[in-house]
Amino acid sequence: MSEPLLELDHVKVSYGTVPAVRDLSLEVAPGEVVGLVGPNGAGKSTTLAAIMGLQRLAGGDIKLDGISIAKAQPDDIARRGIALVPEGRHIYADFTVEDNLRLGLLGRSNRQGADRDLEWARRLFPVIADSSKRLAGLLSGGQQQQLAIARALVSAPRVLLLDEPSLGLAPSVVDTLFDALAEIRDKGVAILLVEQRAQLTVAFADRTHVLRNCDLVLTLGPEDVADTEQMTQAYFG
Amino acid sequence: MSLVQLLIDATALGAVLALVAMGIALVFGVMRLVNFAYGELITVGAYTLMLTKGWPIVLRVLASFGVVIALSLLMELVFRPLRRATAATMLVATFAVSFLLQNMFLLIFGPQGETIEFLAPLNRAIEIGDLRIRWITIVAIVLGAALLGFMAWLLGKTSVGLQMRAAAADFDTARILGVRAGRVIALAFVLAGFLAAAVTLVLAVQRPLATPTYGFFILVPALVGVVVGGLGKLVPATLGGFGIGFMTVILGDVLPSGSRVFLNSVLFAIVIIVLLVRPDGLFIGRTGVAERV
Repeated sequence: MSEPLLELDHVKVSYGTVPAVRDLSLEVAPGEVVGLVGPNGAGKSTTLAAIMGLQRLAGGDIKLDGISIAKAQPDDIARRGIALVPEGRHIYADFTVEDNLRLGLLGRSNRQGADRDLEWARRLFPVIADSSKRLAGLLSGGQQQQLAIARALVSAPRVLLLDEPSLGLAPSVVDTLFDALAEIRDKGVAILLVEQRAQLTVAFADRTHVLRNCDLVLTLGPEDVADTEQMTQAYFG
Repeated sequence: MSLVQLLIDATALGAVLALVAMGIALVFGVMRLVNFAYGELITVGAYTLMLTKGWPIVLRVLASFGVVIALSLLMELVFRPLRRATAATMLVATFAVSFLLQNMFLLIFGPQGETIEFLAPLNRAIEIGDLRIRWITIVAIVLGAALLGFMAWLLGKTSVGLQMRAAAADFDTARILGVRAGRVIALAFVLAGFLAAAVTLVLAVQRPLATPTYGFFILVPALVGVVVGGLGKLVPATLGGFGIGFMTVILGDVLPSGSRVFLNSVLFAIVIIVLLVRPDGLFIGRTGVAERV
């Protein structure tokens, strides 16, 4: 395994006095997919928000390239090479598809290669190229998800955080999505994937951590995908 | 008064209030802050024009733009710690700044009012048939159209405009995409100050007496226009400001002369009815785009 790009070191996050993530440590290396699964309220989305600087840490540290980003602002973190595809997509419904993509370009550290990345995103998700002048809100749910990922990709991220990208999508669309994620991974991007579809995630990711009640309870590899008993155990205790 | 005359005068006041409304809506968009102290930007512009009486016109205009924009940025600095505060906290804070400034003006310049003496000849009228159009009316309409056009270009066609619209529509998402929050908010205050300074130039000709509440009395109708049009979005808010200005002039003409004192009562009655029927604002669709799955 190569050097980790993103490191979470005993991360703690609280909402007021209520803990949301208790003591989470994990690493993601370039070209690696790490899954994060668990029941609702386990702290998965909070973890991604904390990495992105939207949620302050109550303890621990988050490092990119060995440098702490725990106190950085979200826009700064974006420019350092981390992109988040948030839950619910959060595309700009009243903007055109093109303008949504242009916003993604803001996260680049420089303009060089922007055209190449735009082209790549359009090839990966052809629907984006076909409807560039349409309002993003008029796209279907699956198309909006593809736009949200494309928007993150054109920022040329080294780390891609995805929060439940398959939520509410038809199975065939989910397959397309995971094919795209595989290609993104093969380009050397480090992917941290939060998902409800545990089995799919365990099969796809290099490692999958199971969170329950704000704690990391179990780590699974692709070889454990058939071991439903272990997974059920992890989910329900 | 002929209908054309009435429409021209109504458009002129509408243009001025549209600019004020847009200034308020710009800041609200990126910060969810209703700046009650916005009127004081206009007041400070008027006092600047008053204090620079002997100077060449160009210098007076530049000075007032400079002072107004500087005060707007100073306000941003004051409100900055409140970014994450509740809407009520922010509103009360802007009230405080508004009254603080009004009382400072009162202390420095007194309650009487001082003559501004700015481009008074523009109050002369040209006559075309039975139309009597004051030059300042034409200036107000042209300036309003030019500035609204400029803002439409800035917000619609430039990268910085796209960033401002994104920050206004969904602030956190804009930040994770790399929009520099502080910079966008500061720019909103600069543009709001720019619009306030432009409005001051027109008002200074029409109302040549600078008083501590000079801008406050233009803020109130503009704010009502913003709320009626739709607070959350720029174009509806601006249209709302225009509508209030337009209606004020029309009602002033339509009401029998004995009832003119009730002009504001009638106007606000209309506002209340509009808000009862369309609480989100007149120009905002009742339902947003449905969430897609």
